[in-house]
Amino acid sequence: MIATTLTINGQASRHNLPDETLLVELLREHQNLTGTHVGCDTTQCGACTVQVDGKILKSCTLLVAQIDGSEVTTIEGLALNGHLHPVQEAFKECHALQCGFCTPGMIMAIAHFLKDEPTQLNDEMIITALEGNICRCTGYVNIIKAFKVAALKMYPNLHIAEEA
Amino acid sequence: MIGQSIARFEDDRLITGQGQYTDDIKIEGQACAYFVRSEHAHAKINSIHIHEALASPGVLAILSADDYLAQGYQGIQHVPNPADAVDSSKPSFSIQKNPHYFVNLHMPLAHRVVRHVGEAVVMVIAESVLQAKNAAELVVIDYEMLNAVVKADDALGVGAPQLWPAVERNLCHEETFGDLAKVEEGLRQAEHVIERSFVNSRIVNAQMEPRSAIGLYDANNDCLTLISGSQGVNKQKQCLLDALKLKDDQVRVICPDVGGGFGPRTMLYPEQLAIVWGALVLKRPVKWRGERSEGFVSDYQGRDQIIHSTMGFDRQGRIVAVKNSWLANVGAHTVSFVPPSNGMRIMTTVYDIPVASVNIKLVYTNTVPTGPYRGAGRPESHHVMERMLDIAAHALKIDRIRIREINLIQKNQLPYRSPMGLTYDSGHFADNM
Repeated sequence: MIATTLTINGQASRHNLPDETLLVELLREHQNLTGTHVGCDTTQCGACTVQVDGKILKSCTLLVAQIDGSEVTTIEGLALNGHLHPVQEAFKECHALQCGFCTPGMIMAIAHFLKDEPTQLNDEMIITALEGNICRCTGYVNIIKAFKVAALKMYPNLHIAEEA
Repeated sequence: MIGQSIARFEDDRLITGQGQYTDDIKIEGQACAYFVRSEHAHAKINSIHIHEALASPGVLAILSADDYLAQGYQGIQHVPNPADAVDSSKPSFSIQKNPHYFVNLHMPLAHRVVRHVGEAVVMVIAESVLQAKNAAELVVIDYEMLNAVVKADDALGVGAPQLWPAVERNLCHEETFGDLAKVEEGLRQAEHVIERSFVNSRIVNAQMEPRSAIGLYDANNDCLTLISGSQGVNKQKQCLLDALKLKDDQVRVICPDVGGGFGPRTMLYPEQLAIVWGALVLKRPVKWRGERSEGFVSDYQGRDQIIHSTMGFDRQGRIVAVKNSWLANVGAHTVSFVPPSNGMRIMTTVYDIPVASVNIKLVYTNTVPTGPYRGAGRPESHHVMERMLDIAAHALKIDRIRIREINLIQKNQLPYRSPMGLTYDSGHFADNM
């Protein structure tokens, strides 16, 4: 057993869990934060993506013991005071989801990318930013669209290169 | 309203992490299941040793096919033969005409023989997933390896390993549709004949949500509930009632949010039956979350059809007749014949072809069962048709667009009845070129 302290979605919590406990297990099984999904068990699909101390990480292969003292933000903690995050709004507006299983991971990854204003944005940058997240329903077209719509909601003067 | 997008009811939940997929549901007192799966494509199960595993911490039950059969239950009757697209009162494939027609009962756990890699053999139920997995490692299965065959054309060969004793050449059904005599006459008189084989590769469904299931037993009312993301509930319920020999009001199936369907989640899965049975045995809730590596070897798969096409053309490039032969790899169990059935019905696609016929062979192999997948047989037929037209255009030195224009069904032919009996009521095909 290992004792850890974490701040999850702004709430401090203490845990005493078996050494092998994964962050995703802590979130899903012990905190009932089931919006973080397990799709592949092997850090490939990105459905379990969360933010840890300002970085995006895949929680299905991360031990709780590795992140003692960290701040964790999950999909449940992204909307503030009842207001959806611009990326959440954009996903809804652009029909960027069908089954919704990959969606929390996608939104967490995009929200992280757009945390600071990028100097520019184009399709190649978006595709690179999402290379760790797999979607099986949408063919990605509307996810890329939502990425751009969210970027413009957050940074109205941002230049987004039109693809040929 | 027209031209406006409509907001989906489910999106607010799904974008805020409030979805309810099967694994998000936690039932008070639930036990956890894990499956020991076959590592062989084809083998006899000589014995299963569970003594050591039973003593492992947290283990509640270790179950096999023998336990299931001893309780009087039977395998899943999938009813793989779909209703006919033209006359829904009869099945698509005419069983009466074929005394050799064979479909098998699909056991929740393999009985005596494993027929594909990944087939579940033993179900371990414990207090936690980790305990179930640890115990599963202690289960010893003594296999006697058998030769395996994985391709439909190989499986039909003389001396090929046979999956089911009653099924010679692994052929569970063969049937010819259309007017073969007229087609052969048409091909004899054709100016040009093009012939080609197409292998439509097997596809892993790989929906984002791994398959999962929760089984509940209500002792007061002696009824069972399956909570499991699927593409429906009625077929699942019927198959559960039939396998467990229960009355209509003794099984309830709940389908919560589903992380991708694409076809293969239309039918009941062995694991879903096993989990419900496990709840009945233990008289407490049992939950299973499949892992990605299990999905790759046990989710029903798509395609795997070999289609040989022979097409006759007149001097102007008009198609005069088409004859296909279609080898459908059904896998190790007869789960669904939907792909070849759909593919047969639409084999002439959007072209005005006077006569057509197709011979379909449904073939067992030592592979994961196949079923409907994204279009379910129709993409296979379209692929064959469009490739044949490109090959013909090249051979006959006709423009690729032109050969299509002269063969498309025209507006003034509507309603149009295809050689396979479908009525096309609308469609301006040339306008879509």
